[in-house]
Amino acid sequence: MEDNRKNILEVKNLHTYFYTDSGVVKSVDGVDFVLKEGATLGIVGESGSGKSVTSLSIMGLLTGTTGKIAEGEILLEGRDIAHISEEEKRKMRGSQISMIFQEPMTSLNPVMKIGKQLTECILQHQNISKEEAYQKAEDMLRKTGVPRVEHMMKEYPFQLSGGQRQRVMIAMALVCRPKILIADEPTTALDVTIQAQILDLMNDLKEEIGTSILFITHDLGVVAEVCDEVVVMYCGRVVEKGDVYSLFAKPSHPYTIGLLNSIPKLGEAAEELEVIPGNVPNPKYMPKGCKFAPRCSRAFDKCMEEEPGFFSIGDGHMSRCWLCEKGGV
Amino acid sequence: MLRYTLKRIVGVIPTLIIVVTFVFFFVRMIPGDPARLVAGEQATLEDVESVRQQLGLNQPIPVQYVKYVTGLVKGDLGMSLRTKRPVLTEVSARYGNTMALTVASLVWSTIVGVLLGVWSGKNRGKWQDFTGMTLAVSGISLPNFWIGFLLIMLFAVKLRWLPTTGAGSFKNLILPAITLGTSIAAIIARFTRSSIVEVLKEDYIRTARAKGLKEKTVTWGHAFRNSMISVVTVVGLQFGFLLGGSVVTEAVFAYPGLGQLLIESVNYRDYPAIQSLILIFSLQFIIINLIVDILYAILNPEIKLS
Amino acid sequence: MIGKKKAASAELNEKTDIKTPISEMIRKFKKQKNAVVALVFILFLVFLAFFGEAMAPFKINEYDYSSILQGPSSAHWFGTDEFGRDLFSRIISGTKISLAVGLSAVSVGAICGTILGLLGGYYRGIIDSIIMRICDTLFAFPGIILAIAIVAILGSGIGNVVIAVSVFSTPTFARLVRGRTLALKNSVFVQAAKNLGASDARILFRHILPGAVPEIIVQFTMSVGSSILTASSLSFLGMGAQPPTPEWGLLLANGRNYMMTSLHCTLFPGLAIFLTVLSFNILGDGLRDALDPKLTD
Repeated sequence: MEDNRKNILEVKNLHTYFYTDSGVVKSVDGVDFVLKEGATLGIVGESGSGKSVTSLSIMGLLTGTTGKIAEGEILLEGRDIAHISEEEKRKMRGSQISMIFQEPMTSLNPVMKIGKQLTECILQHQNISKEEAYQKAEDMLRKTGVPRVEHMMKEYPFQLSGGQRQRVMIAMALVCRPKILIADEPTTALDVTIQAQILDLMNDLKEEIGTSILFITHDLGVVAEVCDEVVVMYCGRVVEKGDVYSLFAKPSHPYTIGLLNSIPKLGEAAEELEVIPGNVPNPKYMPKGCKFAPRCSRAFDKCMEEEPGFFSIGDGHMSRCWLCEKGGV
Repeated sequence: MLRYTLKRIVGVIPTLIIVVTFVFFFVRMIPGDPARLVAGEQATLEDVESVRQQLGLNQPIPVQYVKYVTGLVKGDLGMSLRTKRPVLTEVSARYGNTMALTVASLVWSTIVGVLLGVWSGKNRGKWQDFTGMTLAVSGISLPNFWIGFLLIMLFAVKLRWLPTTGAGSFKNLILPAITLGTSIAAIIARFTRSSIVEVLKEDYIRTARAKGLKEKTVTWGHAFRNSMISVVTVVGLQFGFLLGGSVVTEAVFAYPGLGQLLIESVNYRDYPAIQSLILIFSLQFIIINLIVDILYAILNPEIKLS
Repeated sequence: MIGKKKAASAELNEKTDIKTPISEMIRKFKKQKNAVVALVFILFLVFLAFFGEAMAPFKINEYDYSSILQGPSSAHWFGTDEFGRDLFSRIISGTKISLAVGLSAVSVGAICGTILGLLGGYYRGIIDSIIMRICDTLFAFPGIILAIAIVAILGSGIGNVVIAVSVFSTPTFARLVRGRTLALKNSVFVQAAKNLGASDARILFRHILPGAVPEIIVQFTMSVGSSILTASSLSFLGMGAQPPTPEWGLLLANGRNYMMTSLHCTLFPGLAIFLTVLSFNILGDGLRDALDPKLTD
């Protein structure tokens, strides 16, 4: 299947390092992926895999931390946004690329009315009157399906439920009709029923506004629901990527397989749920070979010695595992 | 909001009662015989006794206490032993001067302290932070009587721009207000800085940046407003230090305020005056903290709307 | 994400070398260059307190009417006062007064406050209400005003200043320790000790108090600075040390009479107070930062 949609975002060989007192932490160490126009790309991984740092690198939100993009390119419609000025990055944020976060409870300013928080984003990027901006904000908020919109515009975040706040966050992120929406675990902190509603809402608005979504999560179940393509990250690297059908049908990296096995499945006898043994290694003491080898039940000598490159499983589906060298797991 | 305010006002009443009682008994612990003082050195024993009766000092303490409290309610603070005039007259003559001094100090120190604190906090770890916090730690370590002398030497004696002593005009207020406000400005700066540093770590600041807001808007529109909620509390507490510091500052500049009156009264053992002054100082402090509580609610929508 | 980074690096420290909280605190403290300098200066002051008077070039009350109110010179580094006494010697000799007043007053305040805070926080109920009410009342008086009131009762003098300053520093410690006690009371290890049948006194002093000690140390250091300021203010107002004691606040009050002609009489005593208080405050800041778990990086 040939995909003719154009590349809206290309991340090429991205390295983001944190320079701490006790040394350099390579949080993102050579990440490549492509987000197609109108598509939803899932980035999956445990905490510490570098997925959130990847998104902050794209947003240009590393300023003020010890983090820096050490190498690589981030192309937004072919233009490198990793090495532009702070001012250009700022203008891009919220208008071209916007982001929603995991914690809807703390991500809104507690002392500012919802309406003000929505409109200030429009006023920052568009040269229109306050009234127009307010109208736009109200329209956008209505699209997210919250009740009593006029009323809510005058309310403070503490008066809203968690689900409502996340809807406000979505409205805020989309109000300037950005090309890309980065959603960093947007449903993790919400109840399961609300989760589904929020995912549906994001899908609907994606169609309506024509934005592409970079969906960051640790939950492969959510990925199956919303994503077209998947990138699995481990220790700052991509270990497997491919379209969602191929990846779920033929997971090739033991880490992906482990993640899939740790999802409880309905209808199956309540056997012991599989877990991946061990923890993500300390970023300062990375294993020499494959980073997953110490936790991998199928690792052999070569895995400990040398880090594997990508091996194609076919149709854009790639895996960074020595087992795939000879084809297939 | 109204209920909150009322609750706060009602909550102050027990403290008021305790403070009044405390002051009453406290002052009666001052050694020396006030009747003797009033009657004078040459007075006979009979004279002293008659004065004692006049002042009601021969009555049992509980009776004196009731009289004192009923007097307070009527606005009667008693007679000054030193000037033989009502304490209320003495106090009101100087009250305005002290208020002008403390308010002027509080205003400038809040503005300067907050600006310095925000400037340091948002540039945490950089030279601005280092400069701001060095200034601040120096500010809290300076004895204010010393600052007063140095200011007098420079601006009044050497440059002859401002008067050394006295009260009544704006020019008279400048040097004392700088003297009195310095340490408060420093304390406010330190507190504002740490508050800003904390607030800048909040998720909603990341959200504000993700919206592409200018750093100025992030600082003043989002971080500042939130940090002010806690800074306001500190500014209120500082008012107590200002009242205390005013005693010393007034001494340096021979500024005719309540602090000077307190010192004169202590030296003379003029206990009705001491009693009233301590009461007025603490009342003022209590009222300011009440205002701060209400201001806190205004800044915090969660309390304002409940 | 930044938070996770920190957690990761903390874990790392655990793995690489074993660090006790105290050694960790010392390590972080050493990184604060200012605070180390301040500590060295304070140690120097302590040295002066013990040996300053003996080492001073002149006796503190050595009158010399042939050289009154002279400016700084090679013979008199800080100049002389209206009796021709050497200001440098007097200031050095005054070190022990300021340090002793600050340290003793705050020690008394800290001990009383800690005990009250432990009792209030641990037993709650009526004891707690009474203690907190007293603290509220003391807090309702601006510090110096309270001190002046106490001096008014007890009379002027440096000893009474110590009492006055301890009284108003007590509630600060009481509140601080009470807060820590409330937090630690329900912690797992205190509950465990309770279940093992430890006595209240043992729980309070062996389990809860150590948890509050770091904060007490920081508050102590900060309070010493401000107490030295308050004590010298009272002396300046004539309510503390009495002449001819070479107390710094008193030296300054004395110097004001000759301010127009002999600025050194006010300049140097003030500088001595300033530098002493400054070093205690910088040390306090350094200790606080070294103790603050939020400031790992």
